Amino acid sequence: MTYSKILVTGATGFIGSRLCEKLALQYRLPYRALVHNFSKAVRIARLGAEMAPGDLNNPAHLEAAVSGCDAVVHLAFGSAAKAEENLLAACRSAKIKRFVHVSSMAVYGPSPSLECTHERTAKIGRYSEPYSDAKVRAEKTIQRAINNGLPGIILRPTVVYGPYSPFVISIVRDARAGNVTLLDDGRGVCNAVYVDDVCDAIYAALSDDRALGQAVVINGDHAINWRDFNLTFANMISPRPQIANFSTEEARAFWQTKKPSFRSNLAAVKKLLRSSSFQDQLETVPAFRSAIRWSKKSLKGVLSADRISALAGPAARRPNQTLPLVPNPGRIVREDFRLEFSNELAKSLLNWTPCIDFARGAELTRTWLEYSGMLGPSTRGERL
Amino acid sequence: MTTTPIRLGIVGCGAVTRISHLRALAALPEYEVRYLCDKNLEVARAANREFGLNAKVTTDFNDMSGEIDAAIVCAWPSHHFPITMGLLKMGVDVLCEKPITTTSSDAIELAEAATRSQRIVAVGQWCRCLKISWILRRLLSLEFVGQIQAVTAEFGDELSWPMATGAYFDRKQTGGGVMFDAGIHVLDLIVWMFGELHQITYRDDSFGGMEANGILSGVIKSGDREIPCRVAASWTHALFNGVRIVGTEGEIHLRFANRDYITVVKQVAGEPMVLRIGEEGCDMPFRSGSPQQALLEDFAFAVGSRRAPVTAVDSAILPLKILEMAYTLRRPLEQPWVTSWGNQP
Repeated sequence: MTYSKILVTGATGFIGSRLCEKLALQYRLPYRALVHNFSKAVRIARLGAEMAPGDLNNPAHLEAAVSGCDAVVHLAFGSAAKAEENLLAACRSAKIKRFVHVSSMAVYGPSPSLECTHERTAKIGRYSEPYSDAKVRAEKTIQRAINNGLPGIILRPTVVYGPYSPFVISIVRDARAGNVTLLDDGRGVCNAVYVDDVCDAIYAALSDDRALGQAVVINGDHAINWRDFNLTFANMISPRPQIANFSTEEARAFWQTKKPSFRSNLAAVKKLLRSSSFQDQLETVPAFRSAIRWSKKSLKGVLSADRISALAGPAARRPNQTLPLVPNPGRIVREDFRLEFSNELAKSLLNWTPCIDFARGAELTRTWLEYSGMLGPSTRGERL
Repeated sequence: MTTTPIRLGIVGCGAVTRISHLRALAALPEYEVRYLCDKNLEVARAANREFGLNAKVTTDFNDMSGEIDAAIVCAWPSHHFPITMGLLKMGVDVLCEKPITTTSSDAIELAEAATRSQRIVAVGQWCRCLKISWILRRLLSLEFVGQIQAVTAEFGDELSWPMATGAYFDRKQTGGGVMFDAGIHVLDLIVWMFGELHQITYRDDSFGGMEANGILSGVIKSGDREIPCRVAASWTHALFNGVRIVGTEGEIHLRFANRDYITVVKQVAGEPMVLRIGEEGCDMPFRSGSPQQALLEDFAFAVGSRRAPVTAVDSAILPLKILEMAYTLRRPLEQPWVTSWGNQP
């Protein structure tokens, strides 16, 4: 199928920016990038991409963005409850020929059952886990539209990595800070898929009709474990960092104690009021500006330096936090995972196959990490 | 020096004006902001409110005629030339944001117009207004680390500048990508310290759009010696953010993050000794430690005394010429993760 123009939502994100690169440089298809925040549009600006300003909350923006397009790749993940409804309404007006919704394996929840390994037996539901529930809500909206005639395909990528991957950046930053941690020795299953393979699956979903109406998992050929995933990138730092291990129970128990309480909320408000960036924000309001400046000046006049330092709160005086830090709740959900997803349906319906195995994907990612100075000495920006 | 405040107009009330100039002006009694001009009147009004000013607002800078002595121009670079020319015709001194114009021929025309009209045109090249830049110049003149072997200047970080539209990425509006936006700062600093760059080569990561990373290499001539020089800028990741000079007897590091001192690593009796050198003894034409304030302070002094500002328009022409030359010599920056296709659909 040929298209006059493809609208890409979420075009400035990790997958979206790479998709735009491949649309421009490899697939050579005309496209328009929907941009919510232009500060994030640097990667696609290199391509001379056509950019349409747009907010998924704003039906008029979406109508203008979809106008003249006959296909949509929906990658944006909005917190707006009506984001998908707004986009679908614009698509209906424009009578688009193909809608590729890029969802996530998160729709199977944090602890999917064995039936989820294959799409035909998998069910999606509610899990009381915010990210999964939001992805499910979006996917259900799209699925309803497909049931009502939208020529759509839903893709569910697994753990997508590659250059600019937030997962990879986080591992490398932690490693540079000397904080490399594993959960249960990294035994959890990591369904890693290289970002280019996901883009190729999107391209296949635009080209092939056989998957119309279906939801398809996009995964690499061989799952690895989280130990291999984390340490492959952490060990790119020289000298190799120390590794600390936490049990999932230990990590969960830690975060259980950190759940918000009245006391912790109060502490958070106090911390916010003391933070200089919040004060800077407040100072942009003239009424607050003079009040804040007067208070600071007065305090300096009557209090000793020690007392002012004490008022700045414990955050200002605390020495470096003891390492290692406990893996955050997001990592616990991702890495305490036991299921390997099949990619057979994608292979058969999309005539697609992943081409970049983990070793090759990690190597390509390393070239980008080196280029962007992230593998250099521990102080930010020291590379020259 | 003027005894009464300079009546100032500002053309363009976007992010640079609000984040940089109006904040700096709040601490400078030399100025009185009389007029705020923006193509969107509401933006001008918002700036007025935000900074508690009582300035007149307009969408046409010609309205300011006769009511201001000097103006700051913070419009898109493609508008710098016509606006600054218009202001010179009004008899107004101008501090124009960098890059002064989008072409060196326009910059030359502006410099000539400034001379003809006996007006001052300064450029917002704030790196020259850092105290550490003046310290560095002095150390170089003293051959503090011996003969210079290599010079590197880098400026970059993940772009986070607030922007309401995609005009930042429109070459017609801005003249270029990161090299025109951030690279021009460090290139200007190098030219200010060392003069012309020769044997220029240039690579960037553009694929038909705006470059987000650029590396310009060249040679500084010092007597019969050729010193390699590299200037890099990035919108995607953090760089050194300063200048590094490698000499036969040590290294000098100027970091924009450390505005009070320069670090020198010098070999003393075969051992590296790290020195931090502060401002004392440097003959600078401004007091302020904030480069934005120093820039405005220098401009005010130039307006009052009619002497050339540190960032006079004629001194901003050469960096533009070098950048223009670099763009014509462009080669692609190697990015294997972009162009290695796993397959060919």
